[in-house]
Amino acid sequence: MESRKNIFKKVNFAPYIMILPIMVLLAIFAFYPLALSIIKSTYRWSGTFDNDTGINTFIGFKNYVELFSDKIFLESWLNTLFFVFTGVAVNLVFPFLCALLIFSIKNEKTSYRWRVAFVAPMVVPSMVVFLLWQFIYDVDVGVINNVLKLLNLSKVDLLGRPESVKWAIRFMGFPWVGGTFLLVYIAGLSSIDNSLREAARIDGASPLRTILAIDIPLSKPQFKMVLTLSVIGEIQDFVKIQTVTEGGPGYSSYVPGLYMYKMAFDSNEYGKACAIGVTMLIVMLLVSFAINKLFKTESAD
Amino acid sequence: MLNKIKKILACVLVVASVVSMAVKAIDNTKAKQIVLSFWGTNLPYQFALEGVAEQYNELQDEYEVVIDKQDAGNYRTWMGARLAGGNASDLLATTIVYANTDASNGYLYDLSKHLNEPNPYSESGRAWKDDFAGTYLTQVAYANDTSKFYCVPTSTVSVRIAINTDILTENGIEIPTKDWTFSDFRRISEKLEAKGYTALEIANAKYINYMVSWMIDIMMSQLKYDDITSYDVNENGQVETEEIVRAFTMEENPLNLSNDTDLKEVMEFLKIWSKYWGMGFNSRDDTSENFLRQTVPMMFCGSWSVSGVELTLNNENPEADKTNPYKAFNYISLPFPRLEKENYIDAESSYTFTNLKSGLPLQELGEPSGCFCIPKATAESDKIDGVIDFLQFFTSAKMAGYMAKAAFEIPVIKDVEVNEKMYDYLAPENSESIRMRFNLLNLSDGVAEEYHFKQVQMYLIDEISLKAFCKNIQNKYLEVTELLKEDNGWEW
Repeated sequence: MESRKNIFKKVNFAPYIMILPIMVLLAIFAFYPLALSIIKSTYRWSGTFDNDTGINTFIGFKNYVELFSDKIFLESWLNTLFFVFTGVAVNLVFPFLCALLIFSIKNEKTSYRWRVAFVAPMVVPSMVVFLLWQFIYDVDVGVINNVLKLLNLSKVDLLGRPESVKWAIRFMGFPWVGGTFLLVYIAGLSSIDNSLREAARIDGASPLRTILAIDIPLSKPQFKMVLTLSVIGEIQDFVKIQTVTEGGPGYSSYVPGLYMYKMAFDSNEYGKACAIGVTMLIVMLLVSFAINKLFKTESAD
Repeated sequence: MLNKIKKILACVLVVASVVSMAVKAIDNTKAKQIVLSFWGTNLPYQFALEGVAEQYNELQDEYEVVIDKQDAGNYRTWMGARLAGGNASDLLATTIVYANTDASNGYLYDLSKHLNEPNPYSESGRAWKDDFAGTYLTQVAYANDTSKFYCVPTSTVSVRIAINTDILTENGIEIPTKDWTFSDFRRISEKLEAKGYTALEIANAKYINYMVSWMIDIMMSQLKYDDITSYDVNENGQVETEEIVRAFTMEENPLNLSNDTDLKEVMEFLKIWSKYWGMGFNSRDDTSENFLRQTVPMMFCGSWSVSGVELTLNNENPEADKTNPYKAFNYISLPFPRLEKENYIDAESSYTFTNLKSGLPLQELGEPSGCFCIPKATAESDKIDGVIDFLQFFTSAKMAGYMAKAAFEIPVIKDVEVNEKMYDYLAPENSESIRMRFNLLNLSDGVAEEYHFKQVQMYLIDEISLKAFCKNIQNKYLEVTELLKEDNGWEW
């Protein structure tokens, strides 16, 4: 009895008690739904927890087998591949270029103002941005077609043609300088020891050479982070597609996230929707793992 | 000092508790609140709904009906989550597909018992169900058990071709009448096209505005008239889910769309016609903007769009400047032009339908709309009597007439006058309701419906062949009907 008391005295419980609420919340809102969706992906499940009604039958891996022979699902992954590659490219390049420009401003106040100018649009709801772009692309009243009309050129239906719809969706958000990634890059550039740049300059390196030899290699942790977040974001994102084209025309801009949403809420096939979600999760985990393996940040340090 | 503050705080807490208990006690004597949720952006409809609630609240003291407008884009997700969580509003706007799905999950209350009793707000004295005109009520019967009703309709919808008669007159074109044919329509279009107009616009961007599906159904109903009659086993004028499943899965001579001449001809015909719809029909959500700006003289128009058109034209600007580009004009809405055996396309071509019989009544779509359901959680609460009472009040002839006048709704209740602007949207003489849908509609599977819509989109823009289209549709029908057969244990 005495020794147990001593153990209680020796162990500091305060940190565990403090972390407990967040662990409980995580368990309820993150781990439980994750575990449930993995389990339910092996069921034909109509979403109800009431055993008397609805469908809740264990079917093993049938959902997965059906998905991998489903042309829509496979096409949606091909479309995602396009969005991932183009999304990663723009997120790696444009916010970094912008960060370099802002970082090169010597006057602190001006630099701050530019940072604010690029971050401020983050407060505009993304839905507004999507609808704005939908108007820009409109065949009759859109800016693009009105400019073409002024130039006596024929109209283009960018959102209504399979060959152009994905590019039109990617172009939404131009010039692709998202506030979050911009701040990540600026923070990265700020953390590089300035003496390195000074040394390079003394050695006669041009500004471009300094960027290529110092700024880019030493921003590797930031590039890695942006790459990982971009891939995950592009795989998960379906809101703009749902808003602008609903995956159309046909399945030209359909993505797995949208298929999952429709499967659950339009068809009540929650089991299959879970299977789509689990597939997305596995792909995201594998990609994140691969990125971590490929870009070991220690070497950059 | 600290003790003093503690005492004051304690006193404040005691007083606050007493006051809140008193308020709650007073509140309990107040009317019980019934929340009606709906989606949409149609302002006249919203105002009319509020008007109905106001009239009901004035009529009695026990319940207070509150109208709650939800975002149209997220309504289904919101509704599904609330129903699953057991905290949905007391009355929910729904569709036949949603109601079927939610009923199969056990989320909804069966109204059949009440429908067999008279509606206290009806002067007819007949059962509530008999107040509904035609087959509007039977069309919303539960797909898996047609004796059950998990929602009731409050209106119907129809589609027309709205025509700006001022533009036709200005260009010396004779205004067509209700019995016009497709050839008449094309000849008018040609004259308008010669004047530089895009004659007609159709919205077909998303499956919620799947206008082409209406055309397919109207045409298929004419071409497959005899077959459809044979599929209606219970002869109630409607080919219901079970009958559709039977048609596709019966052993002898099942319906096979992959080699169906009628479907092939309808799709070929639509593809030819789509050349004249104006660019962007697969990316267009709405056609009323160009119609209202008078840049397009004809649009494929659903009855639900009339209130918006009227609202704009009633606020017209004679100068039609940048602040308000809408100038009033005269328009009529005509039924879909009749098909003939041989249809004029242009000076060099025509289209012949192999199986079209002459003299058939015009096929009209009149799907039940404005449906409302009651969540099971409400049914188990002390508000259920009030909710049923309000629903009966809402579907009384008086309120149906009010909705028709104020919100341009087409009533589904017998002997109700409609808004004069909606006369064109009522079923014309020598017409009958479409009995069977050919686009996987109302088969309890939204993804399947969307599949049909997307296949049509792809066929119209040459992304898939006609053969592939028919094959894909047949396969999807078989997949859906086999599943429905298995789930319900249907045997014939």
